[in-house]
Amino acid sequence: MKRRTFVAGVAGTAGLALSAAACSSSTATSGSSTPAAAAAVKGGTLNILMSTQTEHWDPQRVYVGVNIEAGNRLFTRTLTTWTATTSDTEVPKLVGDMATDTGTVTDSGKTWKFTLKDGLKWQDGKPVTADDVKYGISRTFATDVITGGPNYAIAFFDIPSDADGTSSYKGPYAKTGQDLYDKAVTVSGNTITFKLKQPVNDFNNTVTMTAFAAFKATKDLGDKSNFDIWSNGPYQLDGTWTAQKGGSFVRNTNWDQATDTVRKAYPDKITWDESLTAETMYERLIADQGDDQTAITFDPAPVTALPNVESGAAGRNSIVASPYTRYLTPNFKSKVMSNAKAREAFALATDRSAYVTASGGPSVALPTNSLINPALPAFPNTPLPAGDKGDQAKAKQMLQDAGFTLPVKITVAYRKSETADKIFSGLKTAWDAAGFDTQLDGFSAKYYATIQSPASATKYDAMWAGWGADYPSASTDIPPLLDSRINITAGGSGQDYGYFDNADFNKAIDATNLIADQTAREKAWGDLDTQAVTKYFAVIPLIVDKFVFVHGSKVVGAFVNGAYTGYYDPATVSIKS
Amino acid sequence: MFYYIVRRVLSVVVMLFLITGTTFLLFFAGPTDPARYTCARNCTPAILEGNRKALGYDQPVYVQYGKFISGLFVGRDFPDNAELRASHPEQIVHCPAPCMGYSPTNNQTINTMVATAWPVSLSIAIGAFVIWMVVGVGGGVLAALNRGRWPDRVIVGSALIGFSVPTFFIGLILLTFPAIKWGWVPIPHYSPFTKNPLTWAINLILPWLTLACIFAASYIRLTRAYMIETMSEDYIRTAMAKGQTRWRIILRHGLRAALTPIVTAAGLDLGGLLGGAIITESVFSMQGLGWTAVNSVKNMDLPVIVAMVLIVSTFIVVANMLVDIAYGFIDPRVKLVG
Repeated sequence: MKRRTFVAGVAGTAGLALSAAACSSSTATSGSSTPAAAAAVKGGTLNILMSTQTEHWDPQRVYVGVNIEAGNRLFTRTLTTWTATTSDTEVPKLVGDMATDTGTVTDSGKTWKFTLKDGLKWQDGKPVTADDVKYGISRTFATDVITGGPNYAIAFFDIPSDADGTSSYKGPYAKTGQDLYDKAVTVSGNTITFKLKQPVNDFNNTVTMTAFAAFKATKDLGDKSNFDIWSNGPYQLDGTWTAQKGGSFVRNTNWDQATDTVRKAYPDKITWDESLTAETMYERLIADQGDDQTAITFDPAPVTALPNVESGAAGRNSIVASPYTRYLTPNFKSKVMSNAKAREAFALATDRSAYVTASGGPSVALPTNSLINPALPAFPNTPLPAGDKGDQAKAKQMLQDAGFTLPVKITVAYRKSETADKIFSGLKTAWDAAGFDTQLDGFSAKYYATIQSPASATKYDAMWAGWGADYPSASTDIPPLLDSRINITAGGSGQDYGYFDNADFNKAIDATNLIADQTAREKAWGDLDTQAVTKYFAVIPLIVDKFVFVHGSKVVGAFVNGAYTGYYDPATVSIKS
Repeated sequence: MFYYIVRRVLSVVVMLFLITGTTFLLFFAGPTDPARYTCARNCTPAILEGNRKALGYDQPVYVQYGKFISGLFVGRDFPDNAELRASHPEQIVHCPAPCMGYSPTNNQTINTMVATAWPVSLSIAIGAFVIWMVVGVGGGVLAALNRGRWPDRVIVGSALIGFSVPTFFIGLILLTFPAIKWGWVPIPHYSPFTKNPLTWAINLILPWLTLACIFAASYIRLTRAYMIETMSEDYIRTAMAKGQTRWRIILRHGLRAALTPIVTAAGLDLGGLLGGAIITESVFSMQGLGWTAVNSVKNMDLPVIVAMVLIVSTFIVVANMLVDIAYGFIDPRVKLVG
């Protein structure tokens, strides 16, 4: 889940999670009690406290919501972006950022054109050109150097593939196939045009990710550039960034407010300390002493801090639905789970109430039976098969009817943590009551890399995972998780952890991608979600987490931008003098 | 004496080779694929192969170990790729000797990581060491001299408490109350000694106290026991009979003899601490070697784990050697012959 950013959709369907969040706390939208416009002044130092470490600041390698949002708001502008919000529940709008507007689409979704604004500059005063954007995106194709970032450019651009399935363009370092890239991405003056293989009607959402940002070719040191921040936004790095510790930022005097409708850039200075533990960090935020009064964080509160948030940090907390859905994938390569009845029984026996209780109660997690997050327009709201608790007796009968000798031995992998241990021991109780004999295998180091590896295909019967969409289209939910063609290789499962491989389902994905009307397309994604859950039992959705954030008492205008990434949006934050 | 030292140094070198060799084998020749850990969620076989090659994991283990050892003496380039060096020399990271490796997770050479982490661990260890030695040895002597009376009971009693409370508990209490809740001291944040010694000390006082609490407790008990033992020796009675002053007997004859085992323990404890105080550094977010080690284990950053094992074992083995050599000076009964 850590790798994915999240962007929510239209307000209507977001209601379930968001209104529940609002009900749970009178302070849910407390941030909005102080109108940003009234008190916002320039100056002061904003302290960003973090307990998770940044893996990349290189825009083409960033794929974590926190870093997409913070990077975009502070120093990496993108062609389009989402507006900042004035409350935790407001849905932001897509606007041009470096581009003058949200792009022009022709050729029935296969050609997209963006025009850059005048006056865009790098921190050394040199102009940001369309060629810089073109160069930046080309780096995604150097998959041996620029690792970690999203592959949308490779998937979408009209560039042929080699026999092994990789793009024939190998990026700006090797330069193999440069002519192919130059044909797919053309620059004319201030205008950049992208030719895509297939219609992508929401491509202007895709380019909000920093992987589509500009990169100055003369500053490119490949892997060595990972933490070299070269800014075209309102702040620039002061000194150097230290991995796993952080850095500080000062104003970029070459950024021109007139070119920017989104970033208010109120604080003079921003410090970023990512060496903390979540528990101490929240204790500090709640205690609200000294420099912590001007602090925010992008890390949600750990369960241990929750009881103190409402009493200790009244008026300066946000309780919101998180972008992430947690789910299980039965492994179609396992002997047991290749049987549809076993998958159905497993799904039926799953006790989501145990998950919620062990997580910390209904203020921390909501049960769900959809892979797509409630905040997305495509959310199908598939009913739970037998309430929160599941039906273990019926599941047991189903296993027996299917000819299994009880107990049926299964091994379930999950990402280990203290909470996850409790959650899974609760889930195990229910599964075992339904006639399974569950072995749990919890581990935390490089969890996803491990469950994707070919060795896991024969080791686990089911695996836990989490996911949040990249932007408010379920095209970033269903295909990345369930399209076997883009996931399964000799090297492992990709993100289709359970090796779900169904030709009809894949065909339906292709058909859905071609629907031009957004509403109809999103509804079709929702239908596919329901099919995956109730027809194929390819995924067992579990819960949607809630996020709780706290900020210091002198921070004004800190609102969670739920639709963009689900974190505080630094674009409009200011410091009370 | 000279030959003794030479022999000890040689055995230290051999021991370090064995330790690094074993660690290397465990991590790199084990059933897990270390390249797998360098490649995140949207990994493809091509990326994996590239990383494996860039980090040299495609070569046999003895070649990798050879490169690791030679890197310690002559330095290395990352990635070790002649093609890339020719076409894009600016993308090559040079790691000068003694090169401990490259962390793909941090995109940094381990030397750079150690260079920033080492002063933090050194600062924590030195300050804590001074406090615990003064409190521990002083308290132990006082307790021994007042054996059975109330100062003894108070000192031994508090030592027992200090000894039985876990480090993270003392650390968290010290962090939560004096720093976070009451604001008596700033929230610890390492600031170099060279920048401002006072700020350095103020920021380190809580980690120092945490470690000192734990260690002082055991040193009080240790010193007390040895002092009581030596003070009942015949030669002390002889010294008393000769009419020497009480404090001269305590310091010259009693403490000096009792000190020998304490120096051994102190040397080893300090050696271990210089390699990083894992819990204390984690509680106070002090980015020393211990904190780096914890993070590298969390991220399965194998090259860093190997380097940390090398560093920590070097400190312990060297401290052990120094202690042995120091014996010759402290304890008149010990004579080191070659």
